[in-house]
Amino acid sequence: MKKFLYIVGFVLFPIFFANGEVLNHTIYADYTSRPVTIAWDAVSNATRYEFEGYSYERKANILAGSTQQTQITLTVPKTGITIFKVKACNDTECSIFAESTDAAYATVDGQPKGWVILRYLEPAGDIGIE
Amino acid sequence: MAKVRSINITFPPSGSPDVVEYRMYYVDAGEVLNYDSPNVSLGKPDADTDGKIRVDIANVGVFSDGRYDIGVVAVDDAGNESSMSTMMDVPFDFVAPDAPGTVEVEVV
Repeated sequence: MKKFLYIVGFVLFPIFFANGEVLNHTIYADYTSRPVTIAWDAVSNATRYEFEGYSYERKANILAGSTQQTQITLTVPKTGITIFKVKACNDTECSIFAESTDAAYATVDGQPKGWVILRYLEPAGDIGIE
Repeated sequence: MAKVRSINITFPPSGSPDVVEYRMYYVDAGEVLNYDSPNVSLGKPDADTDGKIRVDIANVGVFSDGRYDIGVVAVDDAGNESSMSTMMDVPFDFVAPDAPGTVEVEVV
């Protein structure tokens, strides 16, 4: 029940970053440290997809690479917020990242989206006194 | 010799598999309780059969008579801390009341 409330709370109250930007992207919230698989829509003329993962706490990219698949399984830090983004590339150029408003390239469910992966340590339960 | 009752705090453990200890934050009641507050490690006690961890406050070693706001967090092997489970205005009373006066026997 608590996990459900956390997820609902996070969806209803998205993260406000310091610059005022509101991220309303695909959100994964999880207590565990198991890997997360992220998938996106195929782009017809793409030969590969390049991706980056940015740690909000570390203020730096913590992963980057490319794949010919339309999904990737990530191992992200056990706690904190990782912002994942992907762009489509062909032999000559790449789109801008899918989290932009350019829906011509990589999208999720037809919408331009980034991904926010929220990880947190499960707290102890309610304190009691005996 | 007076008899002082034990005071236990209880809490269900975190479900995260990589927890290495629990940490208790504490302030005098009414002060600001946060991650900068004084704290003490509770170790990682095993839960009892009812699923709760019990900690005898007298063994924690930092409390004296008074009212406290307390919080417990789980800490993983990387030093990350969970959100805080809290309880406000908790009375810790470790002092037995004064004994009654000398008992006398009156023969009537």
